[in-house]
Amino acid sequence: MPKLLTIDDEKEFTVFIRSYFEPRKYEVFTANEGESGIRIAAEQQPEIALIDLKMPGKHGDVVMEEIRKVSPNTQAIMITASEGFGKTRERLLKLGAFACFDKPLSSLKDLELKIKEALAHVANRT
Amino acid sequence: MINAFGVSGLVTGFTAAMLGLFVYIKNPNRRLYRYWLLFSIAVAVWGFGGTAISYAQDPDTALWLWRYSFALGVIWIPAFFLGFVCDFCGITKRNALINAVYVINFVFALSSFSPIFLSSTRYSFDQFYYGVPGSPLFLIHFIWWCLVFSSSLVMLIRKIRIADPYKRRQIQYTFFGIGSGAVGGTLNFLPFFNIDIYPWGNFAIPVYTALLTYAIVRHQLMEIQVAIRRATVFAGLYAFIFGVFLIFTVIGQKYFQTILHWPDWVAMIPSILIITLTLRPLDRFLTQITDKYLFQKEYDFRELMKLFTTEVLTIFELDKVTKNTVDSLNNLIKLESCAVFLKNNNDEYRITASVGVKDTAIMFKSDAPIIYNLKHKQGYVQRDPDINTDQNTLLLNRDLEMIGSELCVAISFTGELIGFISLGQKKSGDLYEQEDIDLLVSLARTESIAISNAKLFAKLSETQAEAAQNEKMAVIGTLAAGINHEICNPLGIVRGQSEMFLLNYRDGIYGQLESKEVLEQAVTIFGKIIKETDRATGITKRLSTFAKPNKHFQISEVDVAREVDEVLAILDHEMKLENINIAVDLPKSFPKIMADRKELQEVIFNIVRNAAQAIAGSGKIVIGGHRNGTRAMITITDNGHGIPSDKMEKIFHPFFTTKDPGKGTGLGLFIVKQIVERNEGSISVQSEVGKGTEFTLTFRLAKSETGASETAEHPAEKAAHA
Repeated sequence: MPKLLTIDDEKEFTVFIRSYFEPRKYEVFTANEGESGIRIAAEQQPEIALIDLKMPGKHGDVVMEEIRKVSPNTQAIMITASEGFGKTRERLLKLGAFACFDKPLSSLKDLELKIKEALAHVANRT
Repeated sequence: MINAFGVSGLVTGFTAAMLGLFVYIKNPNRRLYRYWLLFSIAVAVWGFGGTAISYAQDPDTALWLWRYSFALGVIWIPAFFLGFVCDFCGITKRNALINAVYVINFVFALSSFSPIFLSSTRYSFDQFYYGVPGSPLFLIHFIWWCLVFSSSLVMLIRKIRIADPYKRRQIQYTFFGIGSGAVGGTLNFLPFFNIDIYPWGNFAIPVYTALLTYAIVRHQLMEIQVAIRRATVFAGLYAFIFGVFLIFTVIGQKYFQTILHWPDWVAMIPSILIITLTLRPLDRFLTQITDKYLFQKEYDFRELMKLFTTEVLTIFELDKVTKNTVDSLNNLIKLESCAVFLKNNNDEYRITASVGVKDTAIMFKSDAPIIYNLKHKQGYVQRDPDINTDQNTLLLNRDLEMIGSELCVAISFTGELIGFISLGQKKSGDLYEQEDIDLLVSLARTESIAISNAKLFAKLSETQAEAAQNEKMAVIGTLAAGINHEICNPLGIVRGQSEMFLLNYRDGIYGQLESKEVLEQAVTIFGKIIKETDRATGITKRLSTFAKPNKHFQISEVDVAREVDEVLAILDHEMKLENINIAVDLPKSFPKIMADRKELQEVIFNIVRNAAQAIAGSGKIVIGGHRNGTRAMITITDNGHGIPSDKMEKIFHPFFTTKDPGKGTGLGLFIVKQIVERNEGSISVQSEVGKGTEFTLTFRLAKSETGASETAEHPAEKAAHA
């Protein structure tokens, strides 16, 4: 069962992710701010990490970098509020994010497909 | 015994003498006026001489009087008039011809004492003694007299042809006046040649004084100005008095003597009575008509300066400045026309405001004679009515006539001619005296200050408008971030929940569940959808209310806590992002205040934003408040970097910012202060570098609160108010 870590300051969102992915046989971990998210990542070594970019405290991109250090195989998918007009997206992808999604999610299905893609990517690597 | 001839002579003598003296007193140095005086004296001598002659009781006295009248009066009349006309026509050089005239006249004058001129007198018209010529010399003299007079009049006619309309009018009056006088005078000569027509013509002589007086008063003949007006009034008065006196003495003599057999002097009494009774009312009446019909009233210099200071100097709109200038000048000085010309960006001088000017599209380039003269002469140019002047003046006059201007005063600023004020003729017909010019030159100086003020203000307003717009954009930037988060999030949840339900159904996740359980899931989801939709709507409404321009400023009772909550709801997300903790510490008993709701929100919004920007990293902002007598104080405290004491007094100044160029508009606190004061409140600040800053807003209590406040007032405060 693939491990999915979702880090977002919006409790609604993390609950939502859990309620969608758990019935689809994912082990879902949630964190509402960066530090605890990094801790869980270190502990659980999830395959996927859904990270919200704009959070109080540690910003999403910093969180992503730190998770990379403690859990190198984790594929990060960034959830960004639609601003930066692609520049943010470029930067994040350069930093190593697997994908970027706009918030609010225009398609849950697309997210699910991307996560499946990421899992395949991880599987190929190991 | 007095008779018509005597009366006419008296009137002639009196009026001629007065007119001569008044003109001369105006400017004894002017040659024109000197000639005029001499001419007038000559006429006056004739006038009084005639009166004396009419009184002469014996032929010898009469002869003596005739001779002297001729020698000192009649003979010289045309000669001095010729001198006058020559000077009037601009022939200032004494040429041989004129000298010859004088010499010949002198000869005639000498001869008039001898019997070859007038040998004796004869009693004529049953009234008085008329002279009798002693030889053809008298006739020669008469022809000479007419010749000289005619040539003067011809010179005048010639001048009319080439003069400007201004001067033409003057000459016409002179011509007709003197002309009729001359004709009258000529008729007087007839009895000498035994053509016994009563010298009624003598009455025609004072016609010239009347006409010329009018020409002086109304058309500046000989460039005589205002002061003589008052004299006209009094001349009229004196003429009337004299006339009344005369009539009564003449009638009285007849009546009292023949019927009542009273002595002469008694006849004077009714005259004196009438004069004393009518003197004052007549004075008032005459002053009134002359004021009304001749616009004689001198304007009050002080009034004009006062008007200018209030109507022009304090105005900041350029159009209003120039319009008020022309209106003030026109109303107070009573002009035919007035205009303000200003230089535009193409170096052209155009009319920006005018009254009574026909062609307002007229334009002068920098090289126009009028502009050149304004720049290089003493700050003003005056139209020169004399046509015999240099080329420059002629061109200048032409420019001035184009705009109907009598006087132009330069408006200069830092050495540059930025415009000029053009003044047309005064309605009263007066010329501009040096007093006028001095005043107008100083007015022009205040005008230049007013104009440059207005221009600077316009520029400042532009800059301010730009800066205010930038400030607005900055605020919108803050709001936009909030909008995105506060609206997109709820909508995202709505979508997510809906999609999840559909996908769950499609992927068969609900397959295992009973319909009841599925329905329950749906119900939960719909509940969430409604909650989030409401949330988004709430934020949208809040934002749109906040962003709407405040069209109707209205002070009303405002619940501070509620407004603070509204503002914080908008700023909430940004504050969280910046790791800033905002706390509201308003006591439950915090009173309602009198303010405009939206403006209070704007103030709190701006100060909280400021505070947030002062906090680098994480920090805390506390919004508190307490009541203080009849006032309510709201405090916004932050633990940011604080404001250094040397900058404290400047923070409310416009365009003062400690941020890098382009980062801060410097208008935030300035606008805040304006808004607070507009809401009848006040703002103060305390700060310590490194520790933090506290803004205190003081507002009036709502009326419903002040009832309680009276009793709560400190006795010390009560004493202070008493």
